[in-house]
Amino acid sequence: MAREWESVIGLEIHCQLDTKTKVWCGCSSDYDNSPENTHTCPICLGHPGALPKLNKKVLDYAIKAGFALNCDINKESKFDRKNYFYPDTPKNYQITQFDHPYAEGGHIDIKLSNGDDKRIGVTRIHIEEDAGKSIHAGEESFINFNRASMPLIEIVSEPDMRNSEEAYRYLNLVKDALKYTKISDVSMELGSLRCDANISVMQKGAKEFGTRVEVKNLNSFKGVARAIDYEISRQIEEIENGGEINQETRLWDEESQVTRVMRSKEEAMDYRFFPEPDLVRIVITDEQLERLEGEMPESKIAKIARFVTDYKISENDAETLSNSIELADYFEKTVASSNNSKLSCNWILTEVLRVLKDNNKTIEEFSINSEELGEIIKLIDKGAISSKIAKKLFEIKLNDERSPIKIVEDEKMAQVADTSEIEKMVVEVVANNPKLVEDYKVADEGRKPRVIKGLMGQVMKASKGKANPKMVMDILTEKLS
Amino acid sequence: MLYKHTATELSAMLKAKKITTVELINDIFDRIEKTESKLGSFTLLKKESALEEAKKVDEKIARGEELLPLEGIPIAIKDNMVSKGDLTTSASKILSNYEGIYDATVVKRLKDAGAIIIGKTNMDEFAMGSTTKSSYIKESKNPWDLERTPGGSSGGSASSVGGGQVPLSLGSDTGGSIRQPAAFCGLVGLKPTYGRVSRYGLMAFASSLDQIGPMGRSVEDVAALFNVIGGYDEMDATSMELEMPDFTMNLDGNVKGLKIGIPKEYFIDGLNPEIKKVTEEAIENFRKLGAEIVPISLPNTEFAPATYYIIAPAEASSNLARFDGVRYGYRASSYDGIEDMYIKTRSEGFGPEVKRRIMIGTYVLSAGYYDAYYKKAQKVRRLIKNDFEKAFNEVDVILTPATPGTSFKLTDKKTPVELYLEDIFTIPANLSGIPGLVIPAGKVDNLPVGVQLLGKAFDEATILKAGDAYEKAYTKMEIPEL
Repeated sequence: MAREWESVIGLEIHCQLDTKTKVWCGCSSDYDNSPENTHTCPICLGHPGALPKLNKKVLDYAIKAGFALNCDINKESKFDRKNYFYPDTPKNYQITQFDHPYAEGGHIDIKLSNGDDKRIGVTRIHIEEDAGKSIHAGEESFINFNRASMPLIEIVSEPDMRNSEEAYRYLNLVKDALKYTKISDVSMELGSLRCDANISVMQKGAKEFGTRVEVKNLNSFKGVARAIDYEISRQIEEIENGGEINQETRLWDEESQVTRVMRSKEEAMDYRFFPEPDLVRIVITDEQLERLEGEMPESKIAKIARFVTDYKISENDAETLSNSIELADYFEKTVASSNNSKLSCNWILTEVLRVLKDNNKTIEEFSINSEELGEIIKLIDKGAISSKIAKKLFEIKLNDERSPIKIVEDEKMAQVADTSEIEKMVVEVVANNPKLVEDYKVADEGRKPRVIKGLMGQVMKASKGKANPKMVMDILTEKLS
Repeated sequence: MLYKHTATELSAMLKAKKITTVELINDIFDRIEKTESKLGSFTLLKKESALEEAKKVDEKIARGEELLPLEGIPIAIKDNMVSKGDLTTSASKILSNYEGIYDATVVKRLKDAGAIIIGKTNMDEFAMGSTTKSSYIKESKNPWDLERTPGGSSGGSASSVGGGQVPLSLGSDTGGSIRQPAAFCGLVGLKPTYGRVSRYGLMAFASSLDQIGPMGRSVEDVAALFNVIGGYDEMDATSMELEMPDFTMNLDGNVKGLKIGIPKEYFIDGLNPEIKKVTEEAIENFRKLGAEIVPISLPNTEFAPATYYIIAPAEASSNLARFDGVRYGYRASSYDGIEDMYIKTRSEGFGPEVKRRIMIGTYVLSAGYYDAYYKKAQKVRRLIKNDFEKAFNEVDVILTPATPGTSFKLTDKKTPVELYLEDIFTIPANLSGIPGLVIPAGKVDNLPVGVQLLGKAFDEATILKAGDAYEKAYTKMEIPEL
């Protein structure tokens, strides 16, 4: 008897906050290219007597994440200790928030492939510290404590997702929302965004969730989706073969694309949580909330909607433009300069993004500023240059300090809009192509446009692309009639 | 014979150029050399650096510059306060090779004030105990009777001051570790309000209870040292941002009209009748000085030791987790894998009392027992705190015995629980965070007896003033012959 299965997924996302210093001490967080253990001090190394002190920026950033994920911010919360022995955990306890997190009750609305919206609940967000990194080399192990005590927020979702696609979309939207607040570089590749998934399966319509398995070590967006798919089939298969699901922690093995047992419930840790006595309660004032709310950017979702309405561009295009605040800002400034939103959008999505991709650069590093691009578009818009010439101009401008107008002048790129000059060229082309002219005259109405296009191409070629195409067409039609 | 003077007197002598700082330090070290084999107060002595510092102070005097109140004064600090470049061991094998890589805030403040740190004092391992017998390093003796304990855990700080090796020392007090040894050695000892003295650089025993405090032979000395070490420190989140008055300023000997509460719950059956007698005399003496004696009740007192012996080990089990052999300190010489390294390192590195408390703490915090023990203890702690808040609506100071008995013999066999009850009168102040001052009040069989004055949070000024008045009227400073 074939049974129908339903899966339940919850995600725990860790996001490293981009503060200048660590969460409890003054050590610089900019350690990426530094030698091992150079960004450390008695506090983050857990030396005897050293005490933590909360970096105020961490709380600011964390609150912004709360806003971005539509959470309620608790005016009072506290830190707790989570006790466990691990070599890269200097104090052998992690300072985290256990039963009173600073943010709760948020949500993110995802779009399903059938176009429906679905709301995924954010149970809570809490602040905690990161651990160092263990490096194993044969028989020996080493630890780099540069990352120890880096600030993290952990975003815990409700078990609202039903398949890997929903989880993937939720994860992406959380990433977008966080990225917009500029509190983190949210990169899974760099480890500043990390994700664990809780997965269970149950028979369709069942009231109680199945036994939950936690999958760790998911370090790419694709990995998250694949691990979920694998785990769902594994669990269903297990049950259908008469087995049972154990409550356990599993690791995703990226290489073999399977999950493996890390820890079973029997060996589950007792973290012995208790309130951190070295830190005072977190108190968030109304002024702080107001100030941070004022600093919040327009959300990506709101921006996309506004772009569609205000600039009359497609939702897809608006979404691509909104992938980064900087790109969206560039677009809006280009429109302000060009006064043509459609053309600006097309140029950015094709030419600009192509150049950025080829050179692996971001929009902030792009050599043509929005005003200059706007100028180029304006030149096209008023017919001063053809779009073909515009592309040439764009290429020159990439490595040229002169303004687009100056380049057009210097390089004599402006369209020829002088009737007599165009007429001269048309006459010449008509004289040199008797066969095409004859062809045009006998062609039926269906073929006529195609033949005339060929002639027109000849004229444009003769003008080196600078002739005004509309004028060429008008004069050519007149001469042939 | 300079060692017989108080710090305040010595400071005046330095300022008046009657002595030089180098003479003072040399005299102090002469005394230490003669007595240390008997007392066992120190885990580390720094004669060379002390003399260097002394020379600098003398140069300053020669230049005619004004000295700070404790400038040039020798001070001993308990071996659980980190000082840069010095062995700082908490009297534990696990830190027997640990050299401080920074200065604790109190150490930094002492150095900034020109005080001269002459060494580190012996203690119970990680400040757990009331005899100093749990030290991995050595045994300390009571200067009044070398067969007896100086008390603990700040036993070395007490024997060094009591034995005239140094005029002032710093101790730390989690459940009475400054006040009980002060009482046993005939000293003045202050446990300041929680949050008054920075704990940054104090090797933690129980973070929510620990407080550093001064020990000396006069209230004025203790107040002067408290002036230097106290006050807000941004390195300690629990440190309070409150003004530090000059605590030596209002020691005018006047307690007229001061309301002193006597809690009936402190005069229990286990209290030695002789101690009771001395305490009652002290009460009578305060009355004679013009204080008003008011009977009060602190109904939850009896639950204090039980509450303390849940909360303190719970925090200790977590605080001591960092000693694992991975980054510093002792590491077992052979092991098989990380788990085995932890187990061997900690089994070999910690003594029995520390292990006992780690086990109790781990148990009371474990998932199945958290609510029954730790959470309940926190609730009772609140009740005890409320008792004091209520009492202090009626009185300015609360007077109690300091210890249930006098110092006992080092060879006396006491069970852990008997030893835990040594702190029965001092523990409530730690649970409530209020300040407590122990002053000498008399002797029984030539052994010192102290009484305890408890004050409102951050009102150390009143208990110091009361203690000073009592001292001026009734106590003669003594240093036993050794």
